[in-house]
Amino acid sequence: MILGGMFGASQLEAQVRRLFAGGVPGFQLDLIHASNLYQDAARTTLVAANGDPIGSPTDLSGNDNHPTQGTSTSRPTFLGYASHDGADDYLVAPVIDFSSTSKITIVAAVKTASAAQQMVAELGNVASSSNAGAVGLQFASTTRYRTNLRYSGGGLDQYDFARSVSPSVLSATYDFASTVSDSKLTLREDGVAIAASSKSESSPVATTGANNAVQIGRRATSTLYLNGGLAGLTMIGRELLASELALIERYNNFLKTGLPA
Amino acid sequence: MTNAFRTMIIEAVVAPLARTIAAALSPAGVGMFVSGLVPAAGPADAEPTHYVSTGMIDAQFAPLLQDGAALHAAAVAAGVDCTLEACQDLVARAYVSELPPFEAFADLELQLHQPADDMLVEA
Repeated sequence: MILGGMFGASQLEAQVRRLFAGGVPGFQLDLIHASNLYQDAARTTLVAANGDPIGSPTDLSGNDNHPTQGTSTSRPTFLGYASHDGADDYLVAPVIDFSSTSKITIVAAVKTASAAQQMVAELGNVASSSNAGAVGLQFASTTRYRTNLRYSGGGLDQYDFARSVSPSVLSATYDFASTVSDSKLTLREDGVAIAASSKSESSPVATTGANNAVQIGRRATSTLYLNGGLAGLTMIGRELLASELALIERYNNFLKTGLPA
Repeated sequence: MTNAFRTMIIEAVVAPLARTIAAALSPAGVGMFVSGLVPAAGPADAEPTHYVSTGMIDAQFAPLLQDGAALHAAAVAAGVDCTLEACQDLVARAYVSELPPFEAFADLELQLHQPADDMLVEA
């Protein structure tokens, strides 16, 4: 289990921000504090109350990779977290260059009650065989998570993992450089590693992360919309020490408290 | 600006015009009507028969999908080259409600479109 309460939220936030020092690509989102959220994509009007749309959360990593949603009907709704309607709500982080690294980690504080396949986050377009360096994290069913990564040459690795608790802090790591099954894609749920329940693998081809936008709450193909709540999302493009991953998980575990039980 | 919640479902045949008008009326209308819907009784990966946008919109636009003449006037004022008949046809092929999206889908016996390439591996 994740240990929490040792650090205050602002201290955790600052500690996670330091992991991005030196130009490490990615972003760090706190979706439970209205002071971090704007109603509009132009970032002029702060979210003030439950029911307000979220047009742009603030990237707290220092990279200024603020996601946006310009289409009014597609903005998630603030309910103490980002509520995604499962029909057309999503956010898009700007194009982020992960091509300097072969290691990417996504940590999300997320909840869904829907049985539908739905994306948490996707860098690039995993469904496209030509989008080398794309990665995705999704709910595959009520009982499974799914992660995938796309190599140069079109090869795809895709793992499914048994899903248990909700809401959860999910930590997905992607290692394009690894040739070892079970280390190319890993998933932790609330700080506990889960063994893949099924795998579809191709031979790794040297690949770095993509230089693409990040879809939050849908697939790049305008499908698999998230139907649930997102309280935190961190994406970082470098190898993490176990203690660093645990730190990001603690931060998102705090944010998870904003989600309904 | 006052917002209003609407779930707007249109038939696929009028989606290009609906997207054009929505984008012309407001920058916040760019990107509407891209979520596909298919009949609930059929496969989820069938070609979309409808498209949906659901959420908060500027309240001044809420009546437009229920009044072909008003939609036409607004579209022309925004620089869209379209006929009154085309706008009336769009309104006739639109379902607008204040229901949450999945209740509206159920009313129309529709489900979200899910392309086959999203079903890459089944355990």
